[in-house]
Amino acid sequence: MSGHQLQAPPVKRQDRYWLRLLATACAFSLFGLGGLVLRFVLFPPLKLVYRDPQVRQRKARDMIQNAFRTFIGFMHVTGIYTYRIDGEEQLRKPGQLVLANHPSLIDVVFLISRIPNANCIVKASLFRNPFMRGAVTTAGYIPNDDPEKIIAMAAASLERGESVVLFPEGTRTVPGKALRLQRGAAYMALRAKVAPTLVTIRCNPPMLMKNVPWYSIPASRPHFEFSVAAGKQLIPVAELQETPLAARKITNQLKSYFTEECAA
Amino acid sequence: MFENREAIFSKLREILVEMFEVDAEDVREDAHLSDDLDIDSIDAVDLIVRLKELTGKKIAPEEFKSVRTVGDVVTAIEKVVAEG
Repeated sequence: MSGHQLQAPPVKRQDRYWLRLLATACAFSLFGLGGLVLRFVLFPPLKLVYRDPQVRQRKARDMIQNAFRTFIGFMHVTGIYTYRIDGEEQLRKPGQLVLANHPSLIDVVFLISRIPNANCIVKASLFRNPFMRGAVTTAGYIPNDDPEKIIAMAAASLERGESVVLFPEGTRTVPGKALRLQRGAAYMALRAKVAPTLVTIRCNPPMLMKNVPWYSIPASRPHFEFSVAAGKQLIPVAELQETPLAARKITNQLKSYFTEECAA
Repeated sequence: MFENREAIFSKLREILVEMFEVDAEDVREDAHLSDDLDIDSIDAVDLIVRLKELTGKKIAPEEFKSVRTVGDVVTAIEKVVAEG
């Protein structure tokens, strides 16, 4: 019937496939549940205890960081993946503009679990998502609606010494396609005069890619690798003025960096 | 400088080349700003600021809301100048 249809050769399901599938189902439920627990159980007392919104936000971010660390650990011990992070100490320094490529749904969870006082730019729709809105509002994350506002808020956040996490592609990487970066990341770096910290994320075989449902997990267990590089030499910004041309230059540098790193 | 459509177009091309280093040949009336010239919404804000300086007129960002092509920008400038 499908003589002309290309069929991938059957891949043997290994590395405890069914257990990984079950664990993945648990992980998704746990994530949603965690969002609700933060929103209805852990965050409400923060409003009473900490009157200063800045302090409350910091506490909320600490809680999210711990929750994400636990979640990443859960997925690790249940055998969903193995992972390694190189250069983690760079992420712990304050005031980092952390830019990463974006192969999987859980990249941001990994990154935030390792970055103290992390701010991040999140889909505006999450501010209306019942599972996520508690976390994203209390932590003071930045909705990705208006580009100029995003840049201003992110730059202000960096100037306060918070770290900002952003995927310059704006959406998950589509494997095999040339990278397409938006220029917002470059503008943040220019405005805050912060050389970005670059994180290359490799996931092999790929999991939780764009347009792939959660239950279609890879046949073998994925391995995540995070390589952190300080961008002072790679992407110098100190001498540059905030102009469209400077933003283009930095964006091109970021694009060649990630293209090369991902090919390596 | 903005007396007719051709003059506006050639000034606009000059500005786009200078501000965003696009190729002059790529700037045609039907060229799509984001798809063909890689001009994003942040660039558009800078462009409007520049056009304000040049025309000496107030330009409401709303006038540029529906702008998609170079031709649309020319039309928008025409309107702003005519309203004088």
